Amino acid sequence: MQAPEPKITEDKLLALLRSEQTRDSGFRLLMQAYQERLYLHIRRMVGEHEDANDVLQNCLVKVYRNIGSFKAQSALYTWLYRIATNEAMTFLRKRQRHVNKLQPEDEATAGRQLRADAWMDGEAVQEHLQRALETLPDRQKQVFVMRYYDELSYAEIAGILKTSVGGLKASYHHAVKKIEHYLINTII
Amino acid sequence: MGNEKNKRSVREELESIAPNLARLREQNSPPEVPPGYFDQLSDEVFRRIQREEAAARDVPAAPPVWQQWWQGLSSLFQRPAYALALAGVAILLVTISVFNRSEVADTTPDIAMTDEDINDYIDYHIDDFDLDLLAEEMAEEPGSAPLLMEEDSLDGELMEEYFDELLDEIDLEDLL
Repeated sequence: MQAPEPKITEDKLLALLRSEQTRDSGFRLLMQAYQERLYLHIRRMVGEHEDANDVLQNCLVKVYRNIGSFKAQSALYTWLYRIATNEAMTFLRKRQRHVNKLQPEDEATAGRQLRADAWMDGEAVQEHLQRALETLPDRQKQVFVMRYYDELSYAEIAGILKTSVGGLKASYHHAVKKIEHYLINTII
Repeated sequence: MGNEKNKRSVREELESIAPNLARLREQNSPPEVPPGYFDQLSDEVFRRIQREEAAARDVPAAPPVWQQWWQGLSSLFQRPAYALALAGVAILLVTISVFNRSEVADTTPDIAMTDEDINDYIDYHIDDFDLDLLAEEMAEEPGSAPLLMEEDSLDGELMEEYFDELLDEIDLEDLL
């Protein structure tokens, strides 16, 4: 994952966001700078575009309302990334509860349909990966997306999730093994 | 975030842990996004913020807490079962409080009076007592000794016995 390169420095952007008069123009600049990265991060976690759009909008509205409480103890992008991750996790938990309510036959049908499309295109692979991802515990899911897709260092992930590097490495190894096992059993 | 060195390190790690997944990662392509999505996103977010702010303004202010309590209590009385239950509880509370009050009246502390206190009280108020009435009261008590009244004449034999008893009680050594 490459760091976004805003046309304006973070300090200037924060100054714009903290003033009532310039908050809206500052927020437009913030969205231009970070929206695509945040969208990709969320999309990889939730799968569908419509869901990613909802989650991203929730995330941006929350950023707009809470920018006054941002203490600049971490980089602005780290803070944005943390909010996006939390919003995506909230969405996934709600969806998981909904899936759990489905009848077992529905799940089985969905599984068979996915197997029939397996390896036909990248979209199907992503669907399988998405399903595998949803079997992981929250922390493993977060670490996997940040490491596998966004290619963040453990130090960066630790900064976002406010945790230790040692625990993250273990979580990532477990997550990778579980996902590989899931894909081997469902696709191959 | 995510420089080239990082990426290489991430890929090498994945290759060593899960080679199948690493190969899948190479086929990974960015997801498709509807055309013009990012151009319209900021306008859409601002429209949503304005909608939410307008909705928040339209919501009437919440009534004070006491009013919410009162409304809740009133709604309870509209249900016969709850109203009866509350009336029963009220009657029970009143009954308990009445019983408690009578118990309190009965439990006044005992005032301990010594004989000395009583004697002092009598001496102080001796003029208030009707001695004749007291003498009659004492004479009427069963088992009490007959009182000597002024008009009664003393029997000489009784007088002698009385003096003999007094003399027996006096220790002659104390007198020396």
